[in-house]
Amino acid sequence: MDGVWSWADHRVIRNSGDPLIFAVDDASLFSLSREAHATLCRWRSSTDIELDKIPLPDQEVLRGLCDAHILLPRSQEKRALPRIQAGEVPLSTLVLEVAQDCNLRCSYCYAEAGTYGAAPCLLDPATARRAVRYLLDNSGEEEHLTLIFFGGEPLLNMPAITTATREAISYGEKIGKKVHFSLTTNGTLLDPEIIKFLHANHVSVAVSMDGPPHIHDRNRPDQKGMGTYGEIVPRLAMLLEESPVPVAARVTLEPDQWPSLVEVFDHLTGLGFHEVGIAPVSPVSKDLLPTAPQETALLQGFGQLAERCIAHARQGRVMPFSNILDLLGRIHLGQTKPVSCGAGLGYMAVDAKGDFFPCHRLAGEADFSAGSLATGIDAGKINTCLDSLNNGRPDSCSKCWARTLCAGGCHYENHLRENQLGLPRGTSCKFIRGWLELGIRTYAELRTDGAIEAMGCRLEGRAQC
Amino acid sequence: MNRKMTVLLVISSIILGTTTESTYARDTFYYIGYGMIQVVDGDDDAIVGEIAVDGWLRETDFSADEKFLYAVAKRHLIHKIDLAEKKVVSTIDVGDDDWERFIYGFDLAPDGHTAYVNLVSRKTHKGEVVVAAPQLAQIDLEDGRILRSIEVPWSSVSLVSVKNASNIYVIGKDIVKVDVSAEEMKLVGTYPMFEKQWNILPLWDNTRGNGGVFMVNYYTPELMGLVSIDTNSGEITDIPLDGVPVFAYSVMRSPDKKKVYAVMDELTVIDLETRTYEAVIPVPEGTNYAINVSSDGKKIYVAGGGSTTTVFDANSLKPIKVLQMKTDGMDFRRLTF
Amino acid sequence: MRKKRPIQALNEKARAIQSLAEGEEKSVVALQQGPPAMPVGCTTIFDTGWETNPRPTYPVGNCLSSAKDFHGCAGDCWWPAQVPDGLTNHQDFDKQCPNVARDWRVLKYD
Repeated sequence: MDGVWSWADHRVIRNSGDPLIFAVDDASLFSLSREAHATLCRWRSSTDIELDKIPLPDQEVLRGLCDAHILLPRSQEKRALPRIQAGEVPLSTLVLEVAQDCNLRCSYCYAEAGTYGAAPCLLDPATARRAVRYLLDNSGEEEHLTLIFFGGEPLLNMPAITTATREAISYGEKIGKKVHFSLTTNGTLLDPEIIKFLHANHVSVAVSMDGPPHIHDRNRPDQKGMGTYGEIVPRLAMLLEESPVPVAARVTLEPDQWPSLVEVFDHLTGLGFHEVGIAPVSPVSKDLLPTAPQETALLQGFGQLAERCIAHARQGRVMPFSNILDLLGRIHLGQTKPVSCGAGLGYMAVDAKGDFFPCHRLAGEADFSAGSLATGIDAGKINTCLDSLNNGRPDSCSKCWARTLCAGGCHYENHLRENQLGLPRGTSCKFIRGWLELGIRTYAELRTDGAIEAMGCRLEGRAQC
Repeated sequence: MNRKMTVLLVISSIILGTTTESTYARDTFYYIGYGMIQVVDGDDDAIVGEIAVDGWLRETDFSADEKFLYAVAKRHLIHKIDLAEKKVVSTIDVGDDDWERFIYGFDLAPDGHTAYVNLVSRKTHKGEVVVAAPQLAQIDLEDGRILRSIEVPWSSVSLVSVKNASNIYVIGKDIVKVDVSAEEMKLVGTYPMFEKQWNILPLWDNTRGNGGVFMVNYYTPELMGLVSIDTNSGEITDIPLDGVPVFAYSVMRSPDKKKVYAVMDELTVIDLETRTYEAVIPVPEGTNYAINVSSDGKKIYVAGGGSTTTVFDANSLKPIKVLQMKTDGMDFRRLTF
Repeated sequence: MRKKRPIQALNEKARAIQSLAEGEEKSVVALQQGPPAMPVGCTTIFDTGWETNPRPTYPVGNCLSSAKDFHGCAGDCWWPAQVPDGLTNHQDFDKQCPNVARDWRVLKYD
């Protein structure tokens, strides 16, 4: 261990317990003893450290940091994450907009009442079948694929869903592919027959519900402006009964509702959902942009849920909060992201007309159309779109400690904020960093407690996408 | 009276002076490399010549008159090198039309025209490989012909001729003693090593410069030791050492027989009296395979395993010179005149 | 109660990185505390040889030692998985680069 060493990018996180150190490029997480931390602080501002010249016992601690790859040989080139191009990645997930129409009028809908800005229409079964074949034929070596039924409200178009499902199963059997089905619904149209179909085909269902009636009904009224909570609950009960797969709640909350985060979570788990995922609303209009205090409140709510997650884990239970489970899974593995999501890179959306978009949120945005079932996915167009979204972003990200966990954030969110609302780049960053740091602290506490064992393989299974 | 004393003193000093001059030894070293042997003058520690020798070189042995050096290349060629002319004068292949043969262990016989080799032989028969049992063979140095042989155990990798080559000790998992003095070769004894869990790599033979003693280090799960074969008496001596073992490829005694020098990544001085490791010096150039000592004991040479030779002062154990050789190397042999 | 280490790996990535170093550390500690567990024979075919030098002494690290050991180990097939075999198919492999420690850049494997 001769030679000159310099610091790899890292972040020290003070904790209630031992200080933590997160090495950015590896996404590795260590805890430091107080002495080791003190030593680190002494040397942190030095560059070009000649180990042999450092007095013991500092030298010993620094050697340990070399072993941990937090100190790297000065000559070692900085690792760049691979640049992934559309066309290099086989298709593995396809979102089918089976219905560009909806029976609800949710206040925050980014799909403009499900129509994505065009005339309401339904995906015809023949196109659905072609889309399924396209997925299976373009999935390369992938054996397990995912088909997501989306909309608008997908249950408005059961014929397309049933056709697509049957095609996926039979064609999949023929060419040796297994398709997993998912569906996101507002829940108001569930009936016994539909539920039977969903159960029989093990469709993973996410029901969009926003919490107790006063919150849910404000956000998610029907076309007449009436609340829909009452409609959904009995149907949900039917769906939950003997469901062979977990049923999840998909929550969207507006900034002024964020202080009610924990209440929403508790309410929905009380209804029997197996898992609850909560999303802060996408700012489709300026009045949905959060203020700084609102973001703080949101983080605090997440923090409370994280604490509860730890408490549950100590009792050997897994708290079913999707957001934290997903994040803990990635931190557990030390999974670094070369891109923020799979949009356009293995994950595509097809609208009701058979046109491709990089993801379900960008569907309907003319600038992001990327081919059609007739002509195939236009990889070049995807790369252009992603490049324009990422334009210069890697530079601003390059100095951020969270870059390997975040990798730039949701494309759609960035598009809304930067292109439509004209905000400068990086308005989500503070929140994202706060959230990621919360995840790291939570993980560290679970780990040092030994409580992580309860979560064990559940976490490893999460970090898939 | 004074004049007589003076004359006596003068005469005796002349005698003494002459004696001192005649004990002055001149070492020449041969760096055994790849496709080449380089000659190093032991006075100046300078490269003074090179000999082109085809192939990757392994075992070497000097003829009794020290005019020739025999070098085994690619495990199956034997080159005869004229040291004065610095060139190969003949080459034989121990394989024949039928068998490919590989040499692991080579010593010249005292008769000067045969040699003892340990051979592993292989051929292809109907598309399948056939490997013959290892054999100790006496071969004709003119044409490589096997004159007589005897089967020896698998894993035999080296040999030492003992008691004027009346016996050959074949070294593998154990030391197998073969009496070659009669017409038929005969296995006459085994010195056990394997059952004692000895791990040994006896590939560097410094017998000649080591006062006729073949010496190699071995490892057990507990310690490192030295095993020596006195080639005059045939006696095998085990010298287990005290202390945390060092890593070594090859060893060589100091001329005064008090120390043993060993080399791998470090140069180690072993005190033979106390059987301890006296000094361990990292070699700045890195790993070396071979070690040798100047005949006056003042300099230690480490060479091979890479393309350098480093000269150490035996007293201070400081490196005094590094020679950049042309090729990587395997061994460093000494002739002393 | 296990003694707390100054730097404790928390996630799987950190453990993987630390175990890389630990493979070396164990030998160092063992050396300092007593005779090491010696391998039987020189190397398994998947090691580059025991010159990978877990010891804290010079030459620390891999590259230098592997280069110096290349022909010594290639000819006799000590590393059949890593380098061309000198006994059978590539008896003259050393000719393209007889000085690996200095000239390794010209080494070709095709």
